[in-house]
Amino acid sequence: MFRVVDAVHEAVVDRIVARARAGDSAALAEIYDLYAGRVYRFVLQRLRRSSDAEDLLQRIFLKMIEALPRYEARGMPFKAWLFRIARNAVIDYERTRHDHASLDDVFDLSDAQLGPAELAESAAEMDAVRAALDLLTPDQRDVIVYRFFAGLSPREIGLLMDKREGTIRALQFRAMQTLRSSLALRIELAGAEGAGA
Amino acid sequence: MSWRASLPFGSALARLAHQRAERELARRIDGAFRIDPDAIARVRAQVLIAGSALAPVTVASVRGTGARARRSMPVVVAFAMVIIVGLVATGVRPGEPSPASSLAAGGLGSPVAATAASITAYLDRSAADLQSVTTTARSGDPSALAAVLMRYGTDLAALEAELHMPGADLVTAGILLRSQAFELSTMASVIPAANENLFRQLTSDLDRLIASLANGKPPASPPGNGKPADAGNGKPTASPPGNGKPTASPPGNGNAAANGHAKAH
Repeated sequence: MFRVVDAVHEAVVDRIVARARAGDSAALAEIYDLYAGRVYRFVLQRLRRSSDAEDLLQRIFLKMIEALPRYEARGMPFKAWLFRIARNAVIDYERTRHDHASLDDVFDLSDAQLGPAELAESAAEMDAVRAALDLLTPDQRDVIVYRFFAGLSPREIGLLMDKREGTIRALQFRAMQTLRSSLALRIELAGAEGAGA
Repeated sequence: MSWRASLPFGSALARLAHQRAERELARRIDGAFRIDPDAIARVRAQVLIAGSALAPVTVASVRGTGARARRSMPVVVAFAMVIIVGLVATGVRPGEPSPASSLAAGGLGSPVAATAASITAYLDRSAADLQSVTTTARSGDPSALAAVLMRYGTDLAALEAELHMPGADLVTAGILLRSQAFELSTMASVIPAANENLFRQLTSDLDRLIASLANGKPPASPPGNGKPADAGNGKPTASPPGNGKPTASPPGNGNAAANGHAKAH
């Protein structure tokens, strides 16, 4: 999905946003279709429960609609602007929500598309990824989440985190070094050589 | 970690390994944090309703007035409207049995309301199909992708039949279908060659449906022969439901398509 969305050029997105600001419902639908999946995954990573993620997804897009007249294309790409709203919404949600999920209901196992074995595997994989992310510094973790969950570019992440693009790349590189070992990612150079041959 | 892993950052091998690690991480995140297409579709409908409530009334002529109106309506009010409109239109809450189930049970009564609920259900379902198309296209399995594309085609055909019903909201359907057409167009680059014909056919069918809605009239009846789609060449059916395909029914209802067909004809 990320590849598909990445293919949509920033200028095209800006034109869609301009139409949405002018009240074009179709443009609003296009924005939603472009980014809802990423926002959902970004939120799910933080909130864990799919029911919470769905709730917050709706709030984020409603906030986006409300804030759209104030959006200025200059300076910050729309995608980064949207994820700033998402990040703030997640923080607000976590702050106001005191009934933290117990370990038993951390994973909402209501996905009818998966069998019990797949659900268990998916939950274990979620655990593994989250545990690996916990090993990172806060900045590294943010970069990885924005990069791989939200699909933002290093430039967009830099704008969000108020850091240079080069700094973001360095943070990502160091984070990946940590994740390599903790997630046992298949990155052995012998394998890389084999693939390149 | 092997000695090779300590190569300088500039090393091409190290970069290659780094890129492979990134791809692997992305793959594992995709697998672990699955996007729920049903949730996406549910929220989509509510967001679009809120967007309509917040949008200027007449954009071209009274943009200033519209902008003021949009600012004057807080998001809380819009959110309340979403809930109210959603309850009135569907009679159910998200996550509960689909509107189509209510139709089958005769829960809504009015033919117009029933049509609106059916159309909403089909639009939601086709939007979810599109999400599946993207996911399946990435898996690189042409036969699986063909199945998903055909399901989308079937849902479009069912939707087209519903749009013949009196009172169908052609304007809203047109807006949402144009959005789907845009999404479909962004997928062209990831569709394997084996599925290109089917993909083109679907795009063409969708464009035809949108064009027929553009003048605010129901779509013209397609030249269907009443036969199911030809699975051999992967071409989706363009005929309305009632052709014996059970997949033409709205979500959560196994027989509503047949009901819709009976009503439509």
